Amino acid sequence: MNIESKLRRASLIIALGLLLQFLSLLPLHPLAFIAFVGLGVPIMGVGVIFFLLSLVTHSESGGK
Amino acid sequence: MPLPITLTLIGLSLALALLVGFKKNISQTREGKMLAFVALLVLPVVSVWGGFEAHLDRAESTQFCLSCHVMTQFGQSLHYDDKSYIPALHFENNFVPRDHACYTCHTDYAMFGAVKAKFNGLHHIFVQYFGTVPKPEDIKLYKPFPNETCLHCHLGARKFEEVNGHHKTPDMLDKVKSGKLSCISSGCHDTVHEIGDLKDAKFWHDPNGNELK
Repeated sequence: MNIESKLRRASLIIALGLLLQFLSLLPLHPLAFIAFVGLGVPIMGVGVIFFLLSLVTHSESGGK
Repeated sequence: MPLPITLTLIGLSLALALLVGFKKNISQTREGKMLAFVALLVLPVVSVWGGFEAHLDRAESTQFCLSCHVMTQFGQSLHYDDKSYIPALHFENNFVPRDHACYTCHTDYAMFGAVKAKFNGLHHIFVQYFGTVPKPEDIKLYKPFPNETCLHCHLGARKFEEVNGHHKTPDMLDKVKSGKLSCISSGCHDTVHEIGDLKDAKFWHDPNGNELK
C-alpha cells in the first residue's frame, strides 16, 4: 500500500471518529458522552495512529 | 470553550480530514504534507480536547442529571410548594442556579471536589447502563451532606449569622462552622428531597414542566 492510500485510509477513519464526536455533542444525554468516549475518541485515535504509522513506514522505506 | 466554537472546530477538522482523504497526490507537495499534518493530527487532537471539555461542562447541568429516569422524582421534588423542603426552597428562589442546581449542592468545594464529582458521575453512568439501577427511594448520599457545601454560600451572610435558630446555644454557630453540628442531619434542616411525599404534595410549578391547570 503506498503512502497515498495509507493517508486516505487514516483520514477517512479520523473523519468517521470526528463525525461521531460532532453528533455526540448535539443531544444532552449521558449516552452521548458514552458515544463520545467509547466510539468517537477511540476511532479517531486509531486513525491518528494509522497516520503516524504511515509517516514512519514511509520514512523507513526511503520515502518512495 | 463554548459549544458552538467546539462544534465549529470539529466540523472544520472533519472537513479538512475529508479533503485530505479525497484529494489526490496530497503527499507530493510540501503544502499538502503540511495540510495532512494539521488535518490528521493537530486539529483532531484539539477537537478531542474541546469535545471532552464540552461534555464535562454539559454534565454539570440539571437537565443532564435528570435525564436518567431514576432521578426524575428528585427533579420533581425541586418544585414543592413548601419552603421547609431545602432543595425546593433553594431552587425556587434562585439561591442556586437552576440550570446547575444538582451540581451546585452535590459537589463539594474542596480542592478535588469537581474531579471527584466527575468520577462519581462516571460511576452513575456505568450503573445506569451496565449495572443494576437502584429504586429512587434507595438512593443515598455516599457520605453525610457536608456543612462546607452550605457554608460555601451562607457563611458570612447576615441572615445566617444572626438568625435566632443558629443561636439556640452559645456555641451552636461555631459547631456548625466547624462541622461538629450538621446542618442537614442534626434535625434542623433535615427535610430535603423526601420523594416519598411527592404523591400528596402541592407544587409551585408543574414538576414535569407543563402548565398547572
